[in-house]
Amino acid sequence: MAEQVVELRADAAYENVTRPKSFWNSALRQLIRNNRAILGFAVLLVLVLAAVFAEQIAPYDPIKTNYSNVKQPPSAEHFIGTDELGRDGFSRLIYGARISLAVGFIVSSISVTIGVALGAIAGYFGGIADMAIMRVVDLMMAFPFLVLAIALVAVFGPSLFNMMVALIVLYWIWFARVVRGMVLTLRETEFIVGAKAAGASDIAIIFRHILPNVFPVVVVQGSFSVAEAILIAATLSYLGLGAQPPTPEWGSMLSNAKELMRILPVMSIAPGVAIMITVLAINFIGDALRDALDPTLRQ
Amino acid sequence: MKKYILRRVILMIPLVIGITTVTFALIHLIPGDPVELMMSNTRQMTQQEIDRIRDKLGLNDPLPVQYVRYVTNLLKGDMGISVRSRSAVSYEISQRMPDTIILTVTSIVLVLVFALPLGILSALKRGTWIDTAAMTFALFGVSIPAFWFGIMLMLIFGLHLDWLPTVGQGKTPIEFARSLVLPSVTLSLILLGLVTRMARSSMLEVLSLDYVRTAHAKGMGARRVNFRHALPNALIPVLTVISGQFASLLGGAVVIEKIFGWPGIGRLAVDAIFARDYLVVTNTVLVFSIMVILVNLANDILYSYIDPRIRLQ
Amino acid sequence: MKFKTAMTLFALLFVMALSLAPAAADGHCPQEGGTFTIGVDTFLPMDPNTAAHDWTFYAITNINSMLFRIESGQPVGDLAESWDISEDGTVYTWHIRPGMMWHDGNEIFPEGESREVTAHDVVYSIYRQYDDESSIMAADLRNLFVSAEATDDYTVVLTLSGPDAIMYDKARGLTFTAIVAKEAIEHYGDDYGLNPLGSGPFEFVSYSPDEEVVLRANEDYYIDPCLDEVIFRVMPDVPAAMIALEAGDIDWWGAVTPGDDVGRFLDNEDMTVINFGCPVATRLYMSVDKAPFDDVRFRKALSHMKDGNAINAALRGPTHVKGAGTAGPGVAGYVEGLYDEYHSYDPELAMSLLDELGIVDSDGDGWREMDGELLEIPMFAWNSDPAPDYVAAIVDAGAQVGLKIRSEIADPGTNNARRIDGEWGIYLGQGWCGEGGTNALWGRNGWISTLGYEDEEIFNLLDMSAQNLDEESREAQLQAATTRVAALYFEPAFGFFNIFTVKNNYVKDFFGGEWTLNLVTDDHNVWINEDER
Repeated sequence: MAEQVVELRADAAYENVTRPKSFWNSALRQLIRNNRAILGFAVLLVLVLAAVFAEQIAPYDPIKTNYSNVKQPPSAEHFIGTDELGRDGFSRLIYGARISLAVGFIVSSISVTIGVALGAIAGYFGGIADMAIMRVVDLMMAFPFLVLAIALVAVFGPSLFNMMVALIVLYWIWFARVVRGMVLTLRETEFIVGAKAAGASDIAIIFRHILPNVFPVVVVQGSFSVAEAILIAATLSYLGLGAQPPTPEWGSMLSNAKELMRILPVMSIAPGVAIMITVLAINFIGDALRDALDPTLRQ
Repeated sequence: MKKYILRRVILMIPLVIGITTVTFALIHLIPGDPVELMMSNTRQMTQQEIDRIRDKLGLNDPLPVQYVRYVTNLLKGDMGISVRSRSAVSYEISQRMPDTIILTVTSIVLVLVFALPLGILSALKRGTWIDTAAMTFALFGVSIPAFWFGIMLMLIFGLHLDWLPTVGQGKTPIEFARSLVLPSVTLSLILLGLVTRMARSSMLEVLSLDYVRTAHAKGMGARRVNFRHALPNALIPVLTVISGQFASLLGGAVVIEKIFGWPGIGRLAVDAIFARDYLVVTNTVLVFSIMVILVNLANDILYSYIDPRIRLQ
Repeated sequence: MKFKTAMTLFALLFVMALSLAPAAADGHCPQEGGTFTIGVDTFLPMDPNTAAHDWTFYAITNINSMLFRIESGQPVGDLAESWDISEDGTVYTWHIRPGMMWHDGNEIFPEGESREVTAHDVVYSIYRQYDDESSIMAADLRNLFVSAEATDDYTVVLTLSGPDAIMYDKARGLTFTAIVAKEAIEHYGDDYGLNPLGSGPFEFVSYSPDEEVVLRANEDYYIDPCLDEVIFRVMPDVPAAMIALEAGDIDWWGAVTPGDDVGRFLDNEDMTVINFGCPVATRLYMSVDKAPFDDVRFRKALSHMKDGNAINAALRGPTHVKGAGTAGPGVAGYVEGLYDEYHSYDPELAMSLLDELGIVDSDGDGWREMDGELLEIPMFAWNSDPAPDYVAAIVDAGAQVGLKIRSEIADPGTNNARRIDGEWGIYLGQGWCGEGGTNALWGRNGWISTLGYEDEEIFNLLDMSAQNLDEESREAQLQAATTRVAALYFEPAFGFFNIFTVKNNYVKDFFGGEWTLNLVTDDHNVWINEDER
């Protein structure tokens, strides 16, 4: 859906080739000073703990039905009530963190890996590799994102796994594009030309000089893409193209709660708020990372 | 300049061919058959009868034959017939195009009116509570699931407060404008967040540049420096972002059009994917893509006018 | 009137407000004018040959005259004033109402230059359906059709090759009774559906796809409509439509209302909930030609492992009706007590049946194996509410008896393709209103069941009943078929749900859509009480 924008300030960022320790130290210091980042980390930590210890925290089995106790309003036993099959909404919400976080981080990390690799190859070696990769990128950029995502999931068949595959297919291009652009600029810089002249191998240059320079931007963009993958996954699940029932996924919980919206609005509100909090926490972190890692915004 | 545009347009051709081919292949890879699907909705038919209808619609031919027919017809300006509605695909698309454009443009206008000033203000008031509030708002914007936000808006403003119509389009201009409010606000949500942040960081960057500092040092009024010198330069990257987001706005409209009953082409494309209405899908995606490519081209040209440092080659 | 049997198909429960609303049968309206806005979830161009959707028919049946309409489950006259059916049920003679005019003031017939609808138009319309290779005319009617003839300007004789007991059922007869004008068809060609022209109570004004259709009153109709205008508004998102209905943005929701909303509207004194009067079954079916589904004991285990009635009640809310079988209460062939006898909740029984079949958990992981391998059964369903919930319920029920069931929900196209390919597994199924439901599963008249649903006795019973004009023995045949389906556990049932539509109370003299949407007939003339709006 929305492409998170990370501006590339090539001239400013690449002056220090091998970033001195102080760069990372001050970045870290800046991160710690950022209230929003701390809040984001705290919330994310809670969510991760909830996801990891869902079995211990959730008061009920999230897929166990109870037909004598359906569509109950919130109560002391069921914090946000029960759904149309009598399943505990709160327990489903907690297990949902597991799915959403997993989808976000898996999609993002695999896309980053593929995107950075292909982007670096395209940017560094140029030629046919660049041609081929960039044509694919151009082609995919011209498609309406969600329509393509829906079509891909429809081809693979709806499931959590296939949805993640479809998202990875769509997501790597953002990283490839950004990384290629940066590598193109870096390639011309003196230190790389110098390293080449000194006989350093391509692999060594890529790993020693290029990737470390690309790293900050990728971290920032990557953290935003975690947030976004969570949103898109929820949208696809809402459309019935993601998680399979009875998986407690937030998007499909929202879709289930659609018809209960008027009699049990909390069922519609809670998963939406859960998605929002998760995504917001990750975006807080991403935003702070950008401030910390982008020298031009530093004071 | 003319040469540049011509070159870009020529470069579009392989892209368009790629898009149609990929879409055509993709949509045919999805299991299911449009005629069988249509019949399963209402009446049962024998295989023989389904084949009869498929024959009439040319769906029994081998895929390469169908593809060649599609391309040759397209070159003649004929997009073919929709399986689901049995009317011309060009009719289906042209009927919905204005609605999608109105919705998209309204959202962009909303973004320009709200996000730009907010972003600039927060840059000028950097570090104050205004800045913090604006940035938090911006992050909320990109963090809320749009479809959920739409339903919540509908519940609050459509039903509880009864201020605005919930779904569909109004007839008179005033009613139409009223019915446009909720879907366009929902659609603009993501971009609101993005552009607020973008405007802020872009403005900050320009403010830190030497000539702005110099202007300040020379004793020019802050207002004059900010608005005469800094602002125009800060706007350039923001405009790029907005036009770059055009595609995602069109794509994002899919769900929002569905929820608000807005008769646009995003909804048409998705309904057509589910109905296996092959020609509608391929042609809608084609139109989408051409729009995106053209907007990007226009953006590049505009960019070169605003910022003479950028030379088109 | 013969064929009363057939009419029990449509036995209807009716509106509470009906008796309160002043009748307008004598042609005068308590209040003239007004716009009736109808919400539907999909809408297609209005050519009766190709429109494969009920809601589109709601517009068609107001633009085009129908030979007959269905009202309170009975056929009533429209273009045909009356009709006779031969003793053997093969010859229908329709007597056309004189003085019915095609709509004028359009491209085909300029204002005041229309012509009368005659028997020849009826014959033209029938043959257009019959001859056009892209027509969706139903198979069984096509098979029965022999000829249609206009013996004079006001008489049509339709000959069938055999008697047909459910002639009036929508699935068979309705499309071909929508009478179209030859001039319009020839003028517009494939675009006729965008410019429909008829002789019904309302004239076509405009159509914008996915948005709305506007009709206005036809002042030349033999009854003067009270309404000025009828608008169909397309609302794909049902929860949003429910909000619009409550806010008064639409006056009637013509498509299926979800159970929980029905419950809410029942409590809302500004709204009237209307029962369509034809309960629809929700059930399981499966690839019965493959192991382990080919064993009746396994199907029996599936049937008893789930608390179908409780699931259905939870998911259908106030629309839930307890029962089982291909036909629901009030529909021909319904047998009372089938649910309790064959589908009741009994997990112990299910487990002992599975044990008996050798499907046991031998490695102690909690899941049963068959032939030494984990038995993991896919369950197929479409991806819109409430189908995924039924799947979740079955997955959970399976887990309780140690049967591993994997959900495979997909969009309707993929789901349909799986069924047509006869993929191994369990399917969620929704019946038809009426006898179509039995036929959907059971190959009859050339419909092939790819899942292996074949049973000579059931085929015979269905074939015989289709041509049987004797009410009592026909009912017995259908009941025998329904009972046999249940006894062989071919369709483990959840229960039925009623289709409800909802209107705002200021809509008067309106009793909801049946197969035809009757806004203006001899007995009803819908009007809007603007004072109450």
